[in-house]
Parts: sequence; C-alpha cells; structure tokens
Amino acid sequence: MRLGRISQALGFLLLGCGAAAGPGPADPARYWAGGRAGTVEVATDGAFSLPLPSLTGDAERQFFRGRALFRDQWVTAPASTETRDGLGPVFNARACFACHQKDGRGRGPEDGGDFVEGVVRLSMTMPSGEIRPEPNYGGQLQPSGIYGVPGEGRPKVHYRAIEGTYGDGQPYSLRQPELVVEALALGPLSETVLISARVAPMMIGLGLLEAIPEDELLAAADPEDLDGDGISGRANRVDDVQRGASALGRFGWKSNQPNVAQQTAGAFGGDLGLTTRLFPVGPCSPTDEACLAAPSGGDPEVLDAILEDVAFYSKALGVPAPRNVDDPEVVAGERVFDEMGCESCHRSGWTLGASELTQVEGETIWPYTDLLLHDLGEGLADHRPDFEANGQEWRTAPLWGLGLLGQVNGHQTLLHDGRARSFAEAILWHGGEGEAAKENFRTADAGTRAALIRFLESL
Amino acid sequence: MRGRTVLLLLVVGSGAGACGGDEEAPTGPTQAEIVSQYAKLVDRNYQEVVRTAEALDQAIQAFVADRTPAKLEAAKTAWLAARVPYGQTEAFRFYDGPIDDPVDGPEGRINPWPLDEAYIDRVPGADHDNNIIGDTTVTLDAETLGGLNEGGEGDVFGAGGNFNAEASIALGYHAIEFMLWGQDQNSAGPGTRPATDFLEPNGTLPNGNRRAQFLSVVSTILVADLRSVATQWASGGAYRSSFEADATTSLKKLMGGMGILAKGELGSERMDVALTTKDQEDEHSCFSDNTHVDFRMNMLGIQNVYLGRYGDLDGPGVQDLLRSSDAALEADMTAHLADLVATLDGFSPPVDQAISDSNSVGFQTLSSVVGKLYEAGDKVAAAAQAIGLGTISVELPE
Repeated sequence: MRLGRISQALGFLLLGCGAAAGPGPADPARYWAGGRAGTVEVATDGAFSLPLPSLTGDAERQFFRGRALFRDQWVTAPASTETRDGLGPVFNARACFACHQKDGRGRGPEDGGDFVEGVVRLSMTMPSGEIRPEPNYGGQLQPSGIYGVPGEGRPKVHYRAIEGTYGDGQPYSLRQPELVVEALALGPLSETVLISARVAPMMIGLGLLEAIPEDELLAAADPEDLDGDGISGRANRVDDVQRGASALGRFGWKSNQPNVAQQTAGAFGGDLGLTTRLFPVGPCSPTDEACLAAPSGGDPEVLDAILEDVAFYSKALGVPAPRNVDDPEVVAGERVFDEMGCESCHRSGWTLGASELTQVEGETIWPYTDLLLHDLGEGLADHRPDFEANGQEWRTAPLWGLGLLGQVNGHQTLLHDGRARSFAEAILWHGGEGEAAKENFRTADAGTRAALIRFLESL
Repeated sequence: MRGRTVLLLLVVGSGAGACGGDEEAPTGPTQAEIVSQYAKLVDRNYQEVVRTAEALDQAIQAFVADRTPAKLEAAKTAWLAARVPYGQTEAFRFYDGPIDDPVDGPEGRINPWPLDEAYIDRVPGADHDNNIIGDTTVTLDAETLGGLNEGGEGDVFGAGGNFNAEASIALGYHAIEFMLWGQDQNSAGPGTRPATDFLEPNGTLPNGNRRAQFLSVVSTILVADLRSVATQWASGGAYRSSFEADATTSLKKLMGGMGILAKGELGSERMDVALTTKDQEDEHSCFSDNTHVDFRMNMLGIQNVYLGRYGDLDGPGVQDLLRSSDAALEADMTAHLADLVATLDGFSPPVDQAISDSNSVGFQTLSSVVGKLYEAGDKVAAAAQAIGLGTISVELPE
C-alpha cells in the first residue's frame, strides 16, 4: 500500500474551529463522512435511508421514485401491473428492501438458521481455470419460488466455536460457519461446487464510492507489495456488460461489479429473478421444468426507467455523520486505528472526481475502504475465485455508518457472511494481509482495544 | 437569520406557558388543543371507515349467499363507498401509529399493493391451480390467509423483523377489488368479472365456491383489522391517550404524516412512478379504475389534518397554530393545499388513460400535481419549523 492519509497534520491545525476545549478529533474533517454534499446529520433508525442533502428538483423526484421501487414487492406474472410483474420464477426475495432492510445490512443467521438476508453464490472452476456457474443451479441459489415452482434449496448455517485469548489473557470465542443446503430441488450440487454466502451490504454512499477516481484507486494498489509493508492490494478486473469491456471492479464483496447500475441489474436478476436490458436471461436452471414453464413478465421484465430509478436511488443515499467525534476515547481510538495499521486498507480521505452527481465532485469522503482486494487468510476464505479475486481475497469493506448498524438493523453481525457478532470479532477474524493489524489489536491492553471499538462505533 | 431564531424561541416559550393555563390571552390555540382535535377527527374518520367496511362486508356476504349479478354490483358499490373514508385516513400513517406500528400495525393487511393476482387466483396466461384459490390443500380461513399475506410497500419490514419470502400480497381492499372486478383487460373501463366466476357447478371459472369463500374470509379479516385500529383511536383508547399526553411529540408526528403522504407516498410512489413507467395499470385501484378517488381522498386527508376537520366535525388545526407563528406561510400553505384539492377534484378520470399517454392533458395535470405535492411536503416541514417544532422529516417514516 501507499500512503493515503491526506490530512493527519492538517487536522491539528483545524482543531480550534469547532471544539471549545479539550482534545478534538485527530481529523475534524471526518465529521463530513460523505463530504458536505453527501453527509446526512441524522442518527435515527432511518439514518441510512436519506438522500444526499444536496438533491433537488428532478434528481430528488428520481430518488423518491427509486425509493418506492426499492421497497415495493414484485409480483407473479402475468399481473395487471405489467411493470411490476415477472418475479422469479425462483428468487431470493420479493423486494430489494427485504434484505437491504432500511437500506442497511443483512443479518447473519443464528446457529441452525436459514441464510436469508443475503445470497449464496455458486460456481465451478474448470481445469482450464475458467469459472462457470454450477451446472444445475446456476451462479446463485434461489431458495424461493412463485406458487407451483419449488425453491432450489434452503441454505442453513451451523457454527463451530473457535476459542482464542487476548494478549492480556481474556478469552474470546468466534463462530466458524458451515453452510449446508437442504431440500435441494434439482438433485445434489456438483461435488466440486464452490459456495460463498454473502449478506446484503449497506446501501449508503455508493454514488460517492463510484466517484473515487480510478487512477487514485490504482495508485493505491500495490499488487506485488513493492513497498514491503505486507499489504498488497489488488484491483479486480471485471466485465462491464454495458460497454462490453473489462473494467475496474468496485462493488460487491469481491469487487466483482464495476458500477452501481450493473450491480443493481445483477441484483434484480439474481436476487429477484427479474430480467433487465443488461442481464436478459432469467434464473431458471436448464433442468427446472416448472421454472421454465412459468410465464415471463416481459422482455425485459424491468423497464429501463425502473432500473435507472433504482440505480439512481442506490447512488444517492447519503452517509450519516459520525457521532461523538470530540469524545476523548473516540479520539484516542481514531489514533489507535491508524497506529495498528487498519488505515492501510480501510483508508479514509478520498477526494472525488467526476460524477453524474455533480455536486459531490471535489468533495473529500471518509469511507474507510480502498475498494481493493486483500488476502485475509484461510479463516475467512471462501476458496471461490471471482474474476481476478482468488479464494482468500476480499474487498476492503467500507466502515462508514457501521456505528449505527444496531440502531437501524437491530443486529451487529459483520463480515461477508455475518459470522462476526461484534466489531471485536470482525477484527479477530482478519488474517493474511490483515494479520499484523489483527495481532496489534489482540495483544493490545483492554483500554486500547475499547478505544478502537469506540471509534468504530462513532462511524 | 439569527434574529428569526430568537423570535421563534420566544413563540415556543409563550406557547408552552399557555399550556400551563396561567398565561395572558393566547393568540391562537395551544398545541394540546390541536392534538386533541386531531385525535377527534382521526376517531371520526376511522369510525366512518369501519362503518363502510361493515356495509361492504354485509354486501359481500349477501353476494356469497346468493351469487347474482345484482348482488355483485351492490358489493362493488359498497367497495367504492368504503374507499372514500379510508383514503383520507392515510394522512394518519408514517409515524408508527396504530395503522403502521412496526410490530403489529395491520396496514400491510389492509391496503397492501401491488396485489399478486396470479398468487391468489388463476388469470389469463396462468390458467392453472397453482394459486391460493386453486390449491385445495389451502384452508381458506383467516389464520391461513393471514400467514400467506406479506404486506407491501416495505413498511411491514421493521428493524430486525425477518421477511417471509414464501408469502405475497393476498389481503386487503385491493384483494377484494380484484375479486369483485377481476383483472382490467379493458383499456376503456374497469374489470368486468362476471358473477358466474363464483358459481359451482356451471361457473365460468373452476373453483367458484373457493373463490366465494376467499372473498368472504378476506372481507371478514379487513373488518376485524380496521376495527382494531379504530379502537385504539376511540375516546379512552390506549393509543389515543398516550398520543394526547405529549402534545409536542404528537404534533411532530401528525405533521410528519401529512408531509410524508404528500411527498413520498402520494407524490412519488403513487403518482410519479406511474408517470415514469407509463404503465396503464401502475395505479392503486387498477381493477375498478377508482384511482382518481384514491388520489383525491389522500389529498383531502392532508387538508383535513391541516384544517382540523373531518366532514362536519371542525375545530382548531395546524393552520390555526401556524397563523399565529407565520401568517404569510399560513396563507401560502392554505392556498397551496386548496389548489391541490381543487386540481385533483377537477381531474378527469380514468387515471389509467392519463398515465399511459404523456401528451394527454391528464398526464400534464398529474405531472404538475407531483411537483406541487413535493412543495406541499416541504411547506409542511417549513411550517413545523415556524411553529417551533424544529426539523421534522417529511421524507421517511422514522
């Protein structure tokens, strides 16, 4: 990794502006997490659902249309409301909002529970190295179906406890998930299938992440770890369907989508079973006769206008302002975050480039991600390649808004499959390139660890 | 700006003093009086909702007992009458009150949309029994149908509440509407389901008895759900008592409800989406072509709250409180809401014709109404500021 921090020194100079006395945040600018044009100063359970405060006129209207379409359920074809039908025939959910509840993050299941607030991805790696969908079930398991079409199977999660000890002797326990698909409707999964369970990610600030200049992201990458800090950071190269070309991956747990519009179309297709201009093929397995026989909701099922509205909505959700940025323990935790090396990948302080949301151009944002792939070790590995991401690599997850997760979504489950039940567990799962930072945390004294958690809670 | 803020604080101060009853003559009603009048009009409105739903239920049960075209027509007439008071009550949503409480609010059973027709019954293009009415293993009673319904519009998914992907929208006014009118295959008018769809044997569709039974049960559920909401708003009702106990909080809620209905719900979800998709049936009452009444009644409900009025019940409303804080904004808002009511009253139905032709006068009218509804929402937020309530969200149910 290369040095990305822009304003560590500047922060102390600015301190006098807002704080009356006592220690201020290491960098006061971080209060405007989404920049001035992208930060919402709301900390209620609706904090993830508000538009960029700078939206007006037609853009505001488009946002609210998208919001309605994000929340409304889709229905079985044929229906009178032709623009709202075509659900499935097999699907994960009937509405975007079902998994992205309150525009937040899906919950990891309890032990023995169904993995429902997310998706289970399936693939095969051919001897040639080519990645293909599972021959019977496709690229994603759809557990539900319309009336008369069975769901493909029920993904269930069981956990095994992994005990560990902090440096000061305090014990902790992590839970290692094992995913089993029950009630498989189309026969057994291929013996060599690769499975990856991924909870629905938060929706905030996606248009801001899209506006980070590509050359800035690539400049932060260090695939061969030339600076020898143990952190590489690789850009994924993925298909841009619209352009018919390869593009930098930015979104998804493995940076496997190049932009929000394609991510949105992919979710319509994979999660709701709705065809779009970008992905015109439905979700039915070639052997699923009931699915194939079900009526279509149109060609495509999602009108371009609806796809555009939902994609715009997804780009225009604002980022909640951090809380308690002046609290001394939070300030201490912010410094710990940097000192332990978290900032190496969970990078703050990006200046935005060109965007269709012109009002955010030139803003500085604090997402705490580099959008790059990092090897996080065997413990988190799904062993499933995704474009150029290997089975141990994951995209650095943005951390903004996570301090409000409990309030908005009523849970604190973290990581790609929701296995972690707290910030501490999520940190303790880090391995590979994150091993050194994890060890810094594990071996720190309880007060230092608590300060770091307080900082994360302020985001 | 600073001077204005100080002035507002003074107004709030005197208002709070007036609540205590030991102040000089107030220039307007107190917040508590507005909230009390609101509770009265909500109560009256829901009483009317229950009364018309009971009349609808009587007509439906009469039709189920004797499935003639005349009795079907009578049920349709009763359904149209029931929508008039219900539409006005939607101004009482969006603050987790009895109608849409995140734990047990029945909105998603009363008025969910869009209806999943092929999930409920066979329709042209899906002429089979893979639906609730066709599947004879499904017991048609209130408990079973309640479990098969997943309310729409997202409001039912409270924090931490798992959704049920196996259930879809199968209850409420629009399910009854679908039973009574059938799909609207007719571009020039509403659906034309014959009474013989409910006959067995010799019906025009299979499962006539189950269709009648489904209609009967859904109607019964609707009445029970509406009664449960009305009870909480009745004089001495549990929710009403707590609502009246904290006037300032409740005033913020009721104004938030007005603003959200205007902007996010009616303006965006119900009108602007349809104007964008231009889908003839992307409208709430698509089977009966009654969506223009839904629009009017939603708008009237917003104005009712503003004026402190329902039907012939009249008293102090938000308007009166606003007048004593910011007379210019009051005059502007009064005219703005009246203009919206008049424009929608003058709108020529059916909505489905208007939304599918962007060159039509109706389309242009609805498009301008959307813009004005957004302005109305923002004016409600400004009014809350002027009254001294601080910032309220008219964007989202909080």
